[in-house]
Amino acid sequence: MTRLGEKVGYAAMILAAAVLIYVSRSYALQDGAYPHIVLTLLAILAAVGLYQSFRASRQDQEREEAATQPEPERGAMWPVVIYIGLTMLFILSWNWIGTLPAVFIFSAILVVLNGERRIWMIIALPVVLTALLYVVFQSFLYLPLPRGFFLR
Amino acid sequence: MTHLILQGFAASLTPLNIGLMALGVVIGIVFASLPGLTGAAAMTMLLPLSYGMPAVSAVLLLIAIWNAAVWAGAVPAVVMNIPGTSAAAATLLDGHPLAMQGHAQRAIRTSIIGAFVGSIAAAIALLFVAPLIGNVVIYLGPAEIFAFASFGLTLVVSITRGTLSKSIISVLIGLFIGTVGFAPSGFPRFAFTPNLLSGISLIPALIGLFTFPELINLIRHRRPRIVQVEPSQERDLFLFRAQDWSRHWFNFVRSAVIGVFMGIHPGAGPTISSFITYNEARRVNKSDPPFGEGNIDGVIASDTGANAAVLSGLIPAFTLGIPGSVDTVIIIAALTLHGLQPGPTLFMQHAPFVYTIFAGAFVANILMLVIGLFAARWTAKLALVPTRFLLPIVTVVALVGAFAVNNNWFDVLTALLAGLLGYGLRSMGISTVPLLLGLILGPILETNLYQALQVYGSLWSAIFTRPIALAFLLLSVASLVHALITRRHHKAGSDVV
Repeated sequence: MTRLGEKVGYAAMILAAAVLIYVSRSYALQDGAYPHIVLTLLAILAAVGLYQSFRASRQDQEREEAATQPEPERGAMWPVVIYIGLTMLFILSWNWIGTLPAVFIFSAILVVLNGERRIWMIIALPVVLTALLYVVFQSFLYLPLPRGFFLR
Repeated sequence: MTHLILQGFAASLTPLNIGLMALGVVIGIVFASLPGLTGAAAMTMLLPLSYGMPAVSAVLLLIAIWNAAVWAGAVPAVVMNIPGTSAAAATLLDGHPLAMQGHAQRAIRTSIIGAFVGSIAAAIALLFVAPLIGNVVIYLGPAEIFAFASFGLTLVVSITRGTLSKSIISVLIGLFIGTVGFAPSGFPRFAFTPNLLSGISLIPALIGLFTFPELINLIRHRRPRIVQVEPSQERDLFLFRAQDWSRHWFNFVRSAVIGVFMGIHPGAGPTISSFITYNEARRVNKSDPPFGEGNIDGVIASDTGANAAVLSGLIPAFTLGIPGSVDTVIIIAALTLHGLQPGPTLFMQHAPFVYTIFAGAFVANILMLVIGLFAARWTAKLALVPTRFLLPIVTVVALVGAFAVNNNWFDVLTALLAGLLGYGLRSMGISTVPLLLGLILGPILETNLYQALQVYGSLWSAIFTRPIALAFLLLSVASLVHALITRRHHKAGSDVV
């Protein structure tokens, strides 16, 4: 992760801890004291981490100025963003189109986005996966997977 | 006790249990061999499915996966120079040079036999040591349990790689997440939606924390170029001859004993155990070639030590309800999923169940040996499965599995959010292992602290009137101070467990 990402992470921790400490103040002492202590320690350590991250940025800058070799190549972030976005859409779609159709569409999209171009494989993997989930969850475990808005 | 052991063997040897353990061994081998995935990911994914099985079968399935996965990581380590699991990193040091010299078959067979010996030693310890501890811990009160849980947490924090402050941050996040839901007094805390009243579901959180960061890593980082070494066609009889055993038996025994102790020690686990046993074997080695250049004793030590630390990790988990690693957390989650409470009362109330599990561990080991010896040649090929197929399969199975736990869509969201949290923390160099232990030990800590305060009036009187509690709290402080001092001397590594 970049130093900026690290700083954002620590800042988010401090902010979350501060909000939750505020919430825990409304609890009785016996219920609020333990989370209050945990969150306070978390906020302090995150603040120390944030300070160290700023200090390390300065050292990185000095090192970069002295370095002659290029930075090692990092994997691109956009495929991760697309994957997370698609996964969120997949989860949200369960209540609309149903879990099994969503599984079929989601897995087909992921296979294509990851470079598969053979049509039979783009169809075969989602079909097998969907069928397997149906057999295991619906037939074996009798688990009613969401059927979606249209089939309700 | 003898009749319980015999009863345990009889109960574990049903066709269903044997079939599930064999399946578990295969799944463990497959997951450890697939790049970027681990045995813990397989265990978390299958945990919801285990709900439909009898409790004994579910736990035996998970144990078989865990045990086999710890060994199977050695196969890609030997053949491709890629450790399938972190524990296999020590095997790689001598296993791959052996493969490069044309002895891949010998290295793989040695690793599976070493894993078998280590696992059998751990199963013996489980069978005989755990009940003894179980008989003692029933006399412990809330102050002692609180102190022991604190000790477990501080040990994990002090052992986890990375800076001490990052490990503490991780454990604090876990402790906080553990406070969501009802407080020990019965008052709801941080329950911003009705779904949170019963707390954050452990299994969806586990699935998220250990599956998604691995998947995101698969997407983000290109795989290293794989160079596969073909095993030589020459017939190799190493360890099928008595003379090999007469030369190496002491290494097997020493590594097994060290491994068992490392497994009982919270936080150590197979990875640390494999490196310690490897270093110990290297220290006393007098034979050629030197360690690191294809010495078979390096493979024996690392694999025996790693697997000896697997089943012995169940001793504190079963007797005290205190897990020492992610895998034992998953086993504890499986127990609670089936309505069993690990800890002092487990041996008293469910002795036949406990002995069936312990006896089943022997059977799982034998299955691992048999399947491992036959399947080793093909498992290395699994590392070549492309990401484009792994990604949809693992994502979908993980999310539907999270739903299956409580038949609740909110759990799916929990898994995804836990996954994002896990990835974010790992990207910051913060290990998620202490978080998970904080999450499971947090409620134990708080409940026992609450009860100790009710019984003794104040924490100070609870500690100073209970010498065992005082001793464990002093040990907790000592482990933190020791970690602080050693990390100042040796700059901590940057890789994250």
